[in-house]
Amino acid sequence: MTDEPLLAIENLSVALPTGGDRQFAVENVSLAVRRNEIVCLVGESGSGKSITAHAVLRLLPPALHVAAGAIRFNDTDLATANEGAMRALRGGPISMIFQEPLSALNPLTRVGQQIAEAIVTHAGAKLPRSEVDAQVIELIAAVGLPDPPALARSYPFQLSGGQRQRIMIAIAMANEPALLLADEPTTALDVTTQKQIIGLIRKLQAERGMGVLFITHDFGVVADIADRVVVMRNGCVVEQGTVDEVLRAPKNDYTKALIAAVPGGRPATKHNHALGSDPLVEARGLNKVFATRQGAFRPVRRVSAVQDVALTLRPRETVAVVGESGSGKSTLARMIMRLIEPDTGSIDFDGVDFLKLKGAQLRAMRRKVQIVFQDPFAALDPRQKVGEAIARGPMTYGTPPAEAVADAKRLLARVGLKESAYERYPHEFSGGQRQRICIARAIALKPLVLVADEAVSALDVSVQQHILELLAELREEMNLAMLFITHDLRVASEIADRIVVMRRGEIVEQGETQSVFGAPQHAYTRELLEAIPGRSLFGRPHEPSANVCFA
Amino acid sequence: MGMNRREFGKLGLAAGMASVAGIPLGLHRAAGQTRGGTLSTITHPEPAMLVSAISQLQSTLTVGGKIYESLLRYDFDLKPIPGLAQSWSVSPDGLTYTFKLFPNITFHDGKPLTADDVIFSMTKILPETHARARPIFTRIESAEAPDPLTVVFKLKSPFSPFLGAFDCTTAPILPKHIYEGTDFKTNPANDKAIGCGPFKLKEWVRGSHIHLIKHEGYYRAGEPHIDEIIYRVIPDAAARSVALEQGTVKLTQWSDIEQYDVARLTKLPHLDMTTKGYEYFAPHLWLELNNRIAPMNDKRFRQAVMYAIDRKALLQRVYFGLGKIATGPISSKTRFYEKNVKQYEYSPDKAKALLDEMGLKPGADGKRITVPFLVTPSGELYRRVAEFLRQSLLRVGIDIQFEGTDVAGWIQKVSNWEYSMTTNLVYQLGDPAIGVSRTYISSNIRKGIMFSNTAGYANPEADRLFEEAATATSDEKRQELYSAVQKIVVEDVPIVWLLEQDFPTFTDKKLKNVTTTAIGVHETFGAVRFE
Amino acid sequence: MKTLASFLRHPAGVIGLVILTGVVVLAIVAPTLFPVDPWDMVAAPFQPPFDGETWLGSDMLGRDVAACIAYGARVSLLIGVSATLAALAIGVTVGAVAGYFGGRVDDILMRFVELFQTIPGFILAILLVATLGPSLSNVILAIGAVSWPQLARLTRAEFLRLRSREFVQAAVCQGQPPVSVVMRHILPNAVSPIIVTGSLMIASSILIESALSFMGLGDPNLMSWGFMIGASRSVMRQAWWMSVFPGIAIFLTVLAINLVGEGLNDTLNPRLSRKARGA
Repeated sequence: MTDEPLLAIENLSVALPTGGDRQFAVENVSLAVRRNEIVCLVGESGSGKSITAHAVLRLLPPALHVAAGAIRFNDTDLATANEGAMRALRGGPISMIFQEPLSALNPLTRVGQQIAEAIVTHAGAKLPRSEVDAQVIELIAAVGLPDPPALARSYPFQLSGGQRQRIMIAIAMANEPALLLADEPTTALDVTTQKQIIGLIRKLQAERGMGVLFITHDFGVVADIADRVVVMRNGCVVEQGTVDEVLRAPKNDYTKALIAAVPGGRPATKHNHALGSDPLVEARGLNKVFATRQGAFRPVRRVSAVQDVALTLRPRETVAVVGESGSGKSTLARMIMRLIEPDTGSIDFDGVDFLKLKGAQLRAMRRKVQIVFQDPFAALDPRQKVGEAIARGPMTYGTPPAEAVADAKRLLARVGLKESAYERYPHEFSGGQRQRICIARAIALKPLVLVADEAVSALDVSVQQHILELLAELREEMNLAMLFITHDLRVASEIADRIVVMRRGEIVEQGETQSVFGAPQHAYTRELLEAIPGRSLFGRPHEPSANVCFA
Repeated sequence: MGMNRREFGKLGLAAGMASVAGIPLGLHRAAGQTRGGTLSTITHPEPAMLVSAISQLQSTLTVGGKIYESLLRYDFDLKPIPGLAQSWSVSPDGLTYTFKLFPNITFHDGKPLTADDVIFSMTKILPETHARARPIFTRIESAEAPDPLTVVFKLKSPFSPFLGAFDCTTAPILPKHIYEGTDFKTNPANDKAIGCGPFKLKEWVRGSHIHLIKHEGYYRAGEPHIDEIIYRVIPDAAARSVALEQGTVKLTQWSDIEQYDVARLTKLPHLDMTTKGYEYFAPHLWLELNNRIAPMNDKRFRQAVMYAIDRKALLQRVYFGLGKIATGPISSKTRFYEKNVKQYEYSPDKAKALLDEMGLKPGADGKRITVPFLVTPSGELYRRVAEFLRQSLLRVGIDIQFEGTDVAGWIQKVSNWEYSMTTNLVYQLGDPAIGVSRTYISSNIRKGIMFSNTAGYANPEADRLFEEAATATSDEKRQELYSAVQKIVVEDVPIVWLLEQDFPTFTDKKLKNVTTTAIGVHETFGAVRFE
Repeated sequence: MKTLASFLRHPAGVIGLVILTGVVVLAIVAPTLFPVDPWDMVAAPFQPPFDGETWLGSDMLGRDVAACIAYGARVSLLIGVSATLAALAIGVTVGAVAGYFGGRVDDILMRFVELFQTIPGFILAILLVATLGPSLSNVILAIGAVSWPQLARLTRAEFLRLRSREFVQAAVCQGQPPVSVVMRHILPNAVSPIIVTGSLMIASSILIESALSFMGLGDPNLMSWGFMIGASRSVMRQAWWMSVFPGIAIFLTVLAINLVGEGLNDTLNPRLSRKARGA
């Protein structure tokens, strides 16, 4: 580490279009990245962290522009450099990787060719083809992908999400950048893949002595990768320092709150009442195969989403189904909701075979099991007033409209919104508020079971914490049994009585939360636990972490 | 205009082409040349076949007239003049007709034409294949050929119009040696179109042109004068006008040129226009009323319609003056016309009075009655006529509702009497016994037959007079009978006669002898020449 | 109101709306402006425009071209709107059923739609009118019959997309019956693209009607722009005004409707396609 900064952002302000709710997207931000150093830029959505990174390469949306300040890189002020100079920098001395590798890769070109283009763009055509090819193979090997020559001939759709992100990193590394900008590069990935990519970035950074500006919302990731940390909020830097200073002894209240909100660090929520003993929901032998027709004369492609799954849910019990993408956990949740019909199996629900019901009987039963979806933006009808969305359910079951409306207003208040929200439309609310509306809608029907399908995954940590608390409270108030679908083991550890671990459509392990996290029996469970980011700092779930200590 | 260039190359010094290519005439030929040349003209629509004995589509008759010939021709007054027959005689009892043929007549395949061919055509082919020839030639009781150049027909009963049936469109003569014992309609020789006329078929490129060339063995010395005729297929009206205007074609006939273009083209210095040469056909335009159904079954209604239509305006606005107001069933251009009949001048007041008298009082919107009108699907002109009639009748409170259909549907509806009003154009065919009485005599009310008495008019007195007139042997007697019947029919108004429609024949000023007889452009063209 | 305000910020849409309003007003006031029947021969034939008794000249029978255009506007708008409504009724129903129920129902209905789409639309319209006879209702029926497959496909695609949306699933979980789910949640969210396509369809319906009339397959009792051009085709050399003015009328109306449709598209669609996730 030298003291000379590689990238120095000085008093940077990025102006928003006039008429918005604030004047600047980024205001008076100063930070520096030195050679051979990883700086994490951390913050919640809307904090301005991505805008700051994009400003470095002048990749701002057309409506935004740098209003003040300087961005110094190698004696150049990137805030004022001409477009030709910027082009020479992009993909050359400064590279960038993005959250969603699939949309950043050209779907119709082989990945080897895409890496080669990155080389040729900056080296010019003078480089012999064989030399380029050799470099491509070398880069693919460097990002840890097997059989580089074969992989170079692959198309993006043939690769997994992790492999694609490795290709993106190879492209970013093609011209030996001095500075790498990584914008949430692991957010879309599964936790085990995330761990590998973080390891890869660390390794490449160390080998090449790069400076890295790593944007993330996840303090776990910060703990695993950062040398120094910059915390942003509402476009301003609130705190910066070394990873130890910021994470172990934060000075700013906001930083403290954010770190405290990281799930898994708190004791599990407690029940006030004993769990029921007889099963409320008992699913047996559930199977679901998705068949995709590929054309009139081609065989149907079959994907087995859930295989022979059995699941029990007792009254007032919270069961968390955890697993990575493709594990079948969401399919399982939707089968229990009867949004997806299982191919075989039975679901005994409150003494009735739920799968046998039809028409009016089915609709009568539906009120007993309600769902909260992952994406609160998609889960509300943009053309329906939120109060009506809540009241409509009880009205369907015969509650008089006046009563349903009164109940809806009461519920809105209960989930922490004003009663006046009744008359408003979903787009007027933030993500967290919308998720509260969704919860109110679900509990308005006084269900016995609440399915939460990744219900907090799309939310910022502080919001996530509040929603989890709300769900825990409601669980007690309304004697709800909950089926909690999540990819985040830390979240599961906070709310669940029992954990079910799924992998490729099958349950690999299940048991009491304490025992699954404390003494995992299956190798895959252990792998998942190992991959939780920030374990060095935050410890394993259910292990009170001695490291985090602030009042 | 690729065709021009090709023809030009092919024909070299052909006189007619010089001006087409825009080259001064004098450069390529001596002045006053009377032989040779190419006549380029139009056929519209393109015929389905050229054998006029088998198909009587307008364009088949026009082109076929050059290929097939008959015994007689008719002057503008419809008096017979020599055709293949150099002389003829009728016995005083009106039963025996004797024709003497010119010598040395040959078919296009070189075989001689004899009395046997004439008899075979009149007695075997035409009664089977030619709708309007059938009722005439089935009157023949016996036909004999005392020698190869003499034909003698004996009729079952006297029939004066018989001598008027020997033009080349009604009685074309086909070679017996080719057609005997075959199915006439499917005989492969139909494609070769072998006749005895002055021109023979050289080539027919469907969709493009029909190419006729001189028949070297033609029996009239020195004829034909021109070397070849090219009938070009030009479906578009505007393109036909341009072709005539620019001299690409030297002759147009019938509906080749639309009415509204006639005045303009007539003024062009290089063109001559005549409306003569259609006397044999004398096309009569009328509004046909179905006399069977109310209100058309009431004579007062039919008369009211007659009074309500300003036929002068129709002639001027829609037909641009090309024609004459029709006064009754027989055209003034044909034989036995009587002008002293009841006159129906344009008078909406008289029309309204008649309708009032019938009890058809106008409603609040001024309309007395609504009558469906089957629009004749034969092009724009009929559409304009229909629009004109609708406005005319609306003024006296008769509301016409148009019904559209295609040609087949129109024929079906009219011939099966499933219509109320429609327009039609009907030929008079040289003699009222052939072309007029068919529309009015009750014995010709035949369901399913087009051009029969589809209006359903029946008046015993008219029936009697028409029948007597057909069999009377002296013209004086016939005129008397026809005058009487015209007075009756005009009073009854079974049909609302509109116009005697004129058709313009345009010729290049250098083209001579095109319109010499009552069948005009259908004639053989042996005498046609460039000057 | 917000939609209207945002539409009014769309300059092309406003121009289209102004022209279209003009055409509608012309259609409404036609009987006041021209108290006589447009078919009436009120002037000498072939009067050139801008001088004499008629504004836009007279046709070959002496009918007033300006009056014909005013009355033609009624026919064009009537047919454009009714044919589109007919197409909407069929297309939205078929598309909704196919998209909501999916599976075998969808397969059968879509094969049926494809059957219609493989026949060239205009040819089918000609065929229908020629077979059923040229009357106002048959022309509307024929245009509707050739236009609905497009709407069926669009509606189906929207329904397929919305059916798997979480707010629709939430409604199902609330126990709402299918009719309620469709009417309250799916249709309102699918209606914007349907409105946009429908508005553009009015323009194409007017064009088809004009083309049918041009070919003599319009209702012979109605004065329409297509009929005027068809009737003037042969006298183009004598009377350019007979074809040029109705041509301009068709052009302006279709252009205006397309501009309005584009404006509606820009106004209505962003609300629907707004991405759920923030940065």
